[in-house]
Amino acid sequence: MNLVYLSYRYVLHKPLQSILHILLFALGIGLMLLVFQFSEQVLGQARRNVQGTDLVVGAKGSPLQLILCNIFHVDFPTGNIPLQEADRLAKHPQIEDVLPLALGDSYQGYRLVGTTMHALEWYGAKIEQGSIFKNVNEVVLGAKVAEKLGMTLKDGFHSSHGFSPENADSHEHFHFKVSGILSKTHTVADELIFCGIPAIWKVHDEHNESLTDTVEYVKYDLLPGSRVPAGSDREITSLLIKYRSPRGALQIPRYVNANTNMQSASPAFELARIQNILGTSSKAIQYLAIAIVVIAILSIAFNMYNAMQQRQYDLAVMYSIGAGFRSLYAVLVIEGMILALGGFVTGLLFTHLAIAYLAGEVEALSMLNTWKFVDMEFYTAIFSLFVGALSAFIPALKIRRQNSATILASG
Amino acid sequence: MGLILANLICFACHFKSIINIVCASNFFPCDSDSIVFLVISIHNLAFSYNEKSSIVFPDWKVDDRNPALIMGESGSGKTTLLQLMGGLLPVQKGSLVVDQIELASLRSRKLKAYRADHVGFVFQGAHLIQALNVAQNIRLSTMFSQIPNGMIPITELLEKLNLSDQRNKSINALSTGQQQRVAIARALVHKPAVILADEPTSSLDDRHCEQVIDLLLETCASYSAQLIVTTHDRRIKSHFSHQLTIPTK
Repeated sequence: MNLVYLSYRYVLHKPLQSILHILLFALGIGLMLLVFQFSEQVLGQARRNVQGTDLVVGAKGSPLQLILCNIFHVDFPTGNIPLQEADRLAKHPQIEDVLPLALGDSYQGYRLVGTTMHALEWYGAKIEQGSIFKNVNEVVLGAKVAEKLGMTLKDGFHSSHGFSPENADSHEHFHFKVSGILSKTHTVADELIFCGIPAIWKVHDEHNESLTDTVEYVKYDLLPGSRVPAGSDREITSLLIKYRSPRGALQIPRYVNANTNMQSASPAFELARIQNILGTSSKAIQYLAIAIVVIAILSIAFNMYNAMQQRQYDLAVMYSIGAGFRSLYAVLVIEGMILALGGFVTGLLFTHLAIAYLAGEVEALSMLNTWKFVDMEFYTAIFSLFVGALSAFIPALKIRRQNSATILASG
Repeated sequence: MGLILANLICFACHFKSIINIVCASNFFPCDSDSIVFLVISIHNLAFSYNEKSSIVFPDWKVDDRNPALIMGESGSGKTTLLQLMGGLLPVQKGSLVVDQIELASLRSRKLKAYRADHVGFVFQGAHLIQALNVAQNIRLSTMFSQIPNGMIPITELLEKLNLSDQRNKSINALSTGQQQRVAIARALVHKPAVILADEPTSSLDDRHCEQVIDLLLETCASYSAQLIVTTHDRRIKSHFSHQLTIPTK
């Protein structure tokens, strides 16, 4: 028999009331944790996606759309840019590295990205099985694509035009074959299907016989250069750029504006804008969560306060068997902490179940990892214990010195 | 003069010793022939709840472990005396010795230890804790006491008080009589030297009154605890060899 056990018995003594308190607390904590998890996991992945790309150059339109399409692969392309022009820009002395992208097709909702072999290095991915695309009809699957579609090496498919999985307009004439599968990167690359740029050209342009079946020339070092035939009217969707030095940030966007017919957008800047928009709503949810937690705490506190009328005899008896006032307070404080901890654990469970559900049901959130625990969860646990202890403070005020004797005397 | 001197010596004692074992002769110079250890000794004891009025208790001494009775009308202060004896209220003025311990010298921490180890209470109502079952309510008393775990006589007490079948029952499932027996077990389980019972029979009919008093006397005797009872109930007078009547003002 000790104080913790006694508090625990008090919690069990009014099970319905305790469950209500725990659920209310769990609701507030759960919402709070959900916001933390989202900002950690969704924005965490967004940040990883942005990393490594300083600038995106594409057809004129909305800069946000340019970033959403070419970095996050969620929006539609702004249009096409001439390969020649991209090639010329790539030679700018302030540019260290580029990655050309050609978009437009998808398979089962997963986007087909025409690019060069350099993409692997760019996204920090490794070939897990098989090999990189060497022929025009070969593709490499992102880890999640392979997992979700259950595809393995040598599997074949027809891509469909556009990005919607419902789109039945498939390119029957061109047959893709899986040549390799990538390792997990926890970036958008996990959800992409990579192929050579000529493959995208070929899919969209049945009659072009000039393309060979090899994609040798789309290796990185060959793209911005001589093998693009002069006067070629080939187009790509965008060019991802890495600066040579921070000075590039000043020069390149201005250069693109002044000297080309393209537009440039900074992923970091656009992400900050997105975060700003999301930040407001996540703040709102956070305030709501805090309000619910406060209500839960007050409800625990007031309930304890009301229960003090009956509990005063218990406390007086405790006092008579040698408990000090500190022990009497401790019983209430531990009781509040047990309820809060119960609420926290339930809330934690709610949050992770909600994440598991969302990751399974909402395509855009499929990157969520159900069993990833964030630091804030640990701090929230401590916060819960603290406010749980705090909730016992109001009823504890009711215990006064001298009281116990008079209470017992009153019968 | 002698009395003043004795008091001075006594005060010096209070500050020096951890637990004062007070020799009776310090207080009663006239009894100089005896070095009897007093179980109860009240001398010049007064207590006031507020500044206006104070209760003055008559001097009393009990030098053996036979059961003692404190009589008095309602409001005479007998419950206050019992609570002073139990360490629930601090001694404000005068001297009060229970089980050879001078309570006037005990401050909060030692008073706490005194309540935990030396006395057991039987209140007017059973005042059992609803959140705990029968055995847990009894065990509760040992929470702050020094009694070693292996020596807690719960099973024995349950048997003695005819509660063995109730061991794991909830308090709500017990009759009033059973609840009172649990309260008696709770008062005895940590093997205190003194049991303080506040009006244990006042609400009972003659038959139950007799039963409860017999039970109290019997169980206290078998655990060699001295029983001190307050009451205004004249029916139980004959059971007690030591009696103190607190006069009504």
